[in-house]
Amino acid sequence: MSLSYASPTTVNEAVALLTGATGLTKILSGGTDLLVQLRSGRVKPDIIMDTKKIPGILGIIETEAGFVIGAATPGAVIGEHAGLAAAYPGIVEAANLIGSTQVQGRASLAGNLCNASPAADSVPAMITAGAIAIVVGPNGQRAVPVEQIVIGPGRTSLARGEFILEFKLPKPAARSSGAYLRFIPRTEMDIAVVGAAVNVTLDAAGVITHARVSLGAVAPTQLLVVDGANAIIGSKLDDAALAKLDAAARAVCNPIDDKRGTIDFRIKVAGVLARRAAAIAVQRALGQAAGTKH
Amino acid sequence: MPDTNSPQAPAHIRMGSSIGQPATRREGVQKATGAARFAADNHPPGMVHAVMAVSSISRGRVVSLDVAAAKAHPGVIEVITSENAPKLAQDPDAKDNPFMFRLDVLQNDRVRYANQPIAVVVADTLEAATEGAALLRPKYETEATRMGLDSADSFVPPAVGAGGPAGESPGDVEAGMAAASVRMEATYDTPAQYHNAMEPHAIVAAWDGDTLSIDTPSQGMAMAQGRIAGLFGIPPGNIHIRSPFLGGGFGSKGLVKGPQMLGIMAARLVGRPVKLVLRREQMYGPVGHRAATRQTLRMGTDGNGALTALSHHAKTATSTFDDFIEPAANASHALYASPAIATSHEAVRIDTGTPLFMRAPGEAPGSAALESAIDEMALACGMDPLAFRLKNYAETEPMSGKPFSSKALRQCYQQGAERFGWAGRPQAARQMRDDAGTLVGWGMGTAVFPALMFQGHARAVLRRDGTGLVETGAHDMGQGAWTAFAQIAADALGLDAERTEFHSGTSDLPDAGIAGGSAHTATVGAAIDGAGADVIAKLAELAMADQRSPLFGAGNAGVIARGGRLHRRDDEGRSESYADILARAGVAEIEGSGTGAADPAAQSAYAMHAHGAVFAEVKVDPDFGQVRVTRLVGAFAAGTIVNPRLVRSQYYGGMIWGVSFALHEHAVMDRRTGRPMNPNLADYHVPVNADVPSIEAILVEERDVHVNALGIKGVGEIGITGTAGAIANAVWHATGVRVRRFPITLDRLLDA
Ligand SMILES: Cc1cc2nc3c(=O)[nH]c(=O)nc-3n(C[C@H](O)[C@H](O)[C@H](O)COP(=O)(O)OP(=O)(O)OC[C@H]3O[C@@H](n4cnc5c(N)ncnc54)[C@H](O)[C@@H]3O)c2cc1C
Repeated sequence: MSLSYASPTTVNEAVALLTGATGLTKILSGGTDLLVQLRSGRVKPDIIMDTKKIPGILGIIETEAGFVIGAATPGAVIGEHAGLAAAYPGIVEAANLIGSTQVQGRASLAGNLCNASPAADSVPAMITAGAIAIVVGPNGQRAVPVEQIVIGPGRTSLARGEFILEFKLPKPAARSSGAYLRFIPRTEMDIAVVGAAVNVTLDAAGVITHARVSLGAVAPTQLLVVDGANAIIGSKLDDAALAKLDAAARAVCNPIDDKRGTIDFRIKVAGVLARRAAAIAVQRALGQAAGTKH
Repeated sequence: MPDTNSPQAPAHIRMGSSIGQPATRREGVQKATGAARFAADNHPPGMVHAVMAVSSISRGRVVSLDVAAAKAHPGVIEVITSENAPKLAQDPDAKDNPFMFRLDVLQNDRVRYANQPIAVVVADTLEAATEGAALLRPKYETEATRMGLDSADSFVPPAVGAGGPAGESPGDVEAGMAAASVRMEATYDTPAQYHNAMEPHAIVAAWDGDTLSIDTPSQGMAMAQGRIAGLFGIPPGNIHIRSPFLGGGFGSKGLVKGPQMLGIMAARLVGRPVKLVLRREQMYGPVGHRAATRQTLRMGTDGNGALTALSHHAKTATSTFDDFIEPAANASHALYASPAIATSHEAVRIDTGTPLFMRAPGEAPGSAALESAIDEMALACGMDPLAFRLKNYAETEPMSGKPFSSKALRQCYQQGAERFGWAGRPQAARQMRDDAGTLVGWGMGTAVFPALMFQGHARAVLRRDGTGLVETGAHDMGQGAWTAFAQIAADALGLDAERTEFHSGTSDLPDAGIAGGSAHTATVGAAIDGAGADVIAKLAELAMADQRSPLFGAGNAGVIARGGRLHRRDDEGRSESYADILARAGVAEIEGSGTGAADPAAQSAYAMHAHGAVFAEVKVDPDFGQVRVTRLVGAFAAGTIVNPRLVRSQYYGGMIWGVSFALHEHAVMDRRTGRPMNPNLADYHVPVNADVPSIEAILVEERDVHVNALGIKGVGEIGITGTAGAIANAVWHATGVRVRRFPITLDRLLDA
């Protein structure tokens, strides 16, 4: 058994390599999931294709229309981008929760998404931000909402020969913001028991006009909780709206029991985290410092 | 970053002396720059790599291994299984003393626990050896596994810990309970824990005929020499061990273990130097662990809150083939005064590797249970937990009635409580919240650890150039032996630290005993002190007998050694340098030796312990039960503080271990297969930096003239005791929920 490594320098070269290859080909961004799986023997690829030499796949571009984030851009770069942090604090805080300083030097949004773990931290935040994945492949480019990429634990909707080149985020409307919270038993370096992201847009009076809510680690894939968003749209996030959000979040959960948390506990945490994340998102949209978590 | 600066001045500074100075680690730069060579960093010429294959069952027999497939892999040199392993000179299951543990070294096909070595693959590269081991695809004959404290009949062990009796009961506990006006009874569970030193067990072994040279992390080189010599049939003197640095030991490197023997065996078989390093998950079996305990505490008090009886029973587990009994109930021996105390143990045999000494063996789980129970008893009496402890303060050792050699526990309580702000604590639970609405709780625990000594030796030399040398085969596990012993050496020779050379960390130096039981500094410190006194006495004899010396005839008055000179005690103005004395005598150097060991007379007259008090603040998320320790203050009294910087560091490390014990650490065992389910640092949680709060360690002044000449007690383990209980008590105080099962995870807190 042999393992070969390729690092194409253009999208076309990469697509040709992926479509032409026989055996299992794995795409490599930061490798913080892939290399661990390789070493433990969980995946046995024939070819590893490193994307990082493809132009545009590393780095963040801010345009009139919004942001373009290269698929392999590491968390450390995301964390240092002031424009992105101001526009989408939920994405930045979620991406920066991944692992440690060392892991941050490599871990990417595309890897976090395509590893397709239900607990991947950046995914709920990307979903609530309305992020679009630009997928390239043998049939050219297509734009796919992030919530449509993962279809089950370890499985994505990407076809053979396809990979993610970049993510697009729209320029946020005025008085918009977001937040991501995760629950872990210890303080850092752990896998989410539950994650919750909320994005909101307020009108001048502070009423929520637009919202998206997403939960992680409570179902086989990250969930877009439409009922949760509807529960708070039209409100100023009063107690009644928060209670409805809590109930809507709990209602969609379909978690597993494992050593990190029981089904009941995960469901309870999902409701509370959704409430807390919504509160932080609203405070941020109002331009207030969002400090408290309770 | 945790706030690790304590404002207090260091205790015990002897002006102008090395002992008491907060010297930084002598090997610190080496370690920080990577220049320090740990065992596995050594690559002698011609070295090859050995990788163990370990069992995935916990009980049965290996029936087949695909040795041909492994051998066919490019680079594989040899595959060692029970079929072809060389027979050893001694049965590895033989046991002629309690410190000799049975080892699994491929002498048969039997499997006694998961992760037991079942083969070793030797190859040119680590990768080839790893792949070769994976190709072995073992097949087993499996028998039903026994896991957990209820899986087998229990027995009363003949001895617990390092050989103490399994039960002791001065006074009549039942009468005391019957007479009590308030009673409590509760059962506490502590889980199996694994040492998880940062550096895995590793060995680089090279044979030259019948002599053996090895690099391996060891907390006891002379004992390792003895064990290896017995198994391989060579004299101990033929074995040269280098162990200058350990990346942590915590007891698991106290005795040389089976995997290290396999590295030695492999080197002999292939006739080349061999390196063998355990993978993290392989450390969950053959290198020891702390067994789970279930402890039942019963107490009664009179109307004034004075204990009338204290009973502490511990059930624990050992392996099916050897005995190590975690002496948890013995934690109740030394702390609280009671007219009747009973401690007892029982054990079950289960299909694990043999448990072993692990940092504060017995005391760690025993203290967690005892300090929780004391808190419960205080509450039942309606008393503040500190007031209750003071009410039951032991003026003499409760078990033996002996006076303490020294005991500054009152000062520990007082200084710790003051620094923490304990006086403001509401007595009832669930009374405090922070601005964010999080529940806040305060708890405390008493710390205690025996001041032990083993036996160790040192050699001291004074040279004609005015410098000195001290040598001892001591062990630096990271605790700071290199630094502390060099400080003691300088004072022992009456020289400045810069003029004192200090050698340590190899087995050809004088036997320093074992770095364990928090006894290494006391033991080896005494040996160095004795060696220094011996060589100074010889030097003084030279000078006092020489008419040309200003010290001539000082015989009766004696001399004082200071700064490289001998001074007449009755006239300090009359002095002469060591260099001049030796030069005139025409001697290049003179040598002395010393031994450190416990003084039996002092031991029979006094009870000797270090003490402390730990205060903890926790915050608990009311929705999730998520616990964060936000503040820890410990105040400890442990006799002479050789180096306050290193001692604080030991206390911090111990207290962090206490956080781990209280909230994080536990091995999860699969009851069907007997395999550990979390044998890695992602799943076996220990605190990460963000879990470690602001910690303070107060060094409480204590002089002890009985423990040993330098007055040194131990500091390596005491920090765990007290802390785990303090945190459990703080969690109760925050929430009103008493979790009696460690670690206190949120499910246990919420389900309670
Ligand atoms: C110590 C440690 C701690 C961690 N902590 C966390 C944590 O707290 N939270 C968390 O969510 N994760 C955590 N992780 C997991 C991991 O770091 C993240 O999922 C990370 O975002 C993966 O990114 P990567 O670039 O390293 O992915 P890679 O390992 O390179 O790839 C991951 C998967 O995605 C595929 N892939 C990569 N790039 C593309 C692409 N452009 N198009 C299509 N498929 C692609 C790969 O083939 C592979 O299957 C941790 C990992 C480690 C080692």
